Amino acid sequence: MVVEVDNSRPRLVIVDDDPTQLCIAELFLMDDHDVRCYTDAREAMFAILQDMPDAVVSDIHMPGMSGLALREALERTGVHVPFVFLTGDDFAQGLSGTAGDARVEWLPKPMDKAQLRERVARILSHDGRSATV
Amino acid sequence: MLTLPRKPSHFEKSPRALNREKTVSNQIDDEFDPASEWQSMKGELVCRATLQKLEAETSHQALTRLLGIFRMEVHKRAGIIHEACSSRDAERLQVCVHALKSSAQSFGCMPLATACMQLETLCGHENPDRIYEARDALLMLIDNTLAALDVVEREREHGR
Repeated sequence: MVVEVDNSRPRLVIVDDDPTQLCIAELFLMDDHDVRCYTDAREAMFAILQDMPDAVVSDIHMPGMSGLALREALERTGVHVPFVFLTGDDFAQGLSGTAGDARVEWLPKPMDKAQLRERVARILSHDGRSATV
Repeated sequence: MLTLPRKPSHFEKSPRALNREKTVSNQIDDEFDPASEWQSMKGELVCRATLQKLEAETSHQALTRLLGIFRMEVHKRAGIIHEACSSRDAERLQVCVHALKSSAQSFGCMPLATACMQLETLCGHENPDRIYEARDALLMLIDNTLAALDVVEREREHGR
């Protein structure tokens, strides 16, 4: 069997330990993106290292490895993939040390579909990928 | 190995907390009373407008599936809240109610989200007794919210 991969669609990895948030993000983005979903940041890291996506959409607070720790671990291995962080914490952005980083976007929870798609489009455009909003 | 920094657990610190589950005190030493505060919010446990927006952004079938996942997740989180309190694990409790807060907001369960936010804040509080008060009220609110979701889901089916 031949599996066709549509290279024109940006490829995203979504990470959230909460299956409801994961499923909502997938539904909001799947029309225009190839989406892979993970509930565990370590599992996502291995997947990203094996097959690098165009961007990662990640929760911050997760048991085991946080979203910020995931990004730091990838950066340390030389993988500089753009991130959209989802957070229900008003102070997370200020404490993250990512201010001014064009490869990082933030979106407060609960997610708004238009805002999520806009953030993803923006970060992909920074990275030279176009996307539909 | 990368892990989240271990926060000090107030459950572990306080001998009073260790006896809390055996000794029920009626005295609340602060003006905040979660049970009565959340009682007053029960007018609308589930915001239908939020669910209608989510349905418009996805589909009727997708929302049905999402509500099923949410329901399972709420049950699972309630179990974790019990376990975290039994093992005096404030960090686990905090992570759990933080996640539940976000889900509850997504499905328009605002009293539940508020209760989670308050319990999340209390996890860093000096007095662990208040955590147990808030936990009991939150678990009661979870039951009531799930019952309210039953009603909403029946309405959705009949309105279909």
